Amino acid sequence: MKRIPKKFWEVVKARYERMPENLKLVIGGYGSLSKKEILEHLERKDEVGKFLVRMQLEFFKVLREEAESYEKAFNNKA
Amino acid sequence: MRKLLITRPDHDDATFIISKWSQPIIDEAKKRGVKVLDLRGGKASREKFFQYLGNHNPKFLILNGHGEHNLIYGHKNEVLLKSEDGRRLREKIIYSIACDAARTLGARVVQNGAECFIGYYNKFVFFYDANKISRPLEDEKLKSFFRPTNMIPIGIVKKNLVKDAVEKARKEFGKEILKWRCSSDLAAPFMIQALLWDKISLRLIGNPNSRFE
Repeated sequence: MKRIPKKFWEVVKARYERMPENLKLVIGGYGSLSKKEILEHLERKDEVGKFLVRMQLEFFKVLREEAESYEKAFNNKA
Repeated sequence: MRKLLITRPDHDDATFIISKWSQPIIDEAKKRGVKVLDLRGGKASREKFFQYLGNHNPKFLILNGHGEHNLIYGHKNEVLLKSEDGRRLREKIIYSIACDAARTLGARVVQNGAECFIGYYNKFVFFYDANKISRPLEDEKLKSFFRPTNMIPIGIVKKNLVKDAVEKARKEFGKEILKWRCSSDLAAPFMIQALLWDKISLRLIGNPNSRFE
């Protein structure tokens, strides 16, 4: 994805706003990040911010695939 | 005698945590009579690494530290290994948690004669509890990441085929994801996302039937 839609940035930011304060994230190569630093990267839409969006999108993709497989299994049974 | 070389830089939070979580691997290896060449802290330098490689000829290498697609760093981010060093790792089994290293470096060392390379195609990510940074082995969140990934070197030390060790690690990542999906902890959504990322990113390049003998 070359250009990340504004909506995605907002969704990811909204999620990280709910992150517990004591939790820290290590992204190899980018070091250890607090909640405040994560939100700053997402605000700046920089390289780290883009990585966080990619990680979130991968998660959504897996959820969608899972939902589709359940739907398929359900339809086969019906 | 079977020999294992491990690099353990520990100059920042991430490398300190990884270094501490390498201890169970070292303990298991020693228990099984494997000679462990432990390049910890300042000893995790390029010079020492190749010196130990030349003098002791270990078969199994565990390379901790930060990384890029074509590099693995040692202590204080000194370059420890480059993809051009491939020829010096012939017949080795290599496991690395360094980020992106499976992308170029892993493929290159295998092309140049390494038995296999097990590592992460993307950046390895993990969450930890900042209140437990001085006691990382007691942090349940870290346990969720490092227990699965440690199953690879521990499985290899136990003479499992590398493909079986990697498969066990993938299954363990899956179990951890499931555990956090059933959790009401506020950290759960973040844990699931990161565990899934690491699970997808794990790669085995080279001979899947390699064994550390």
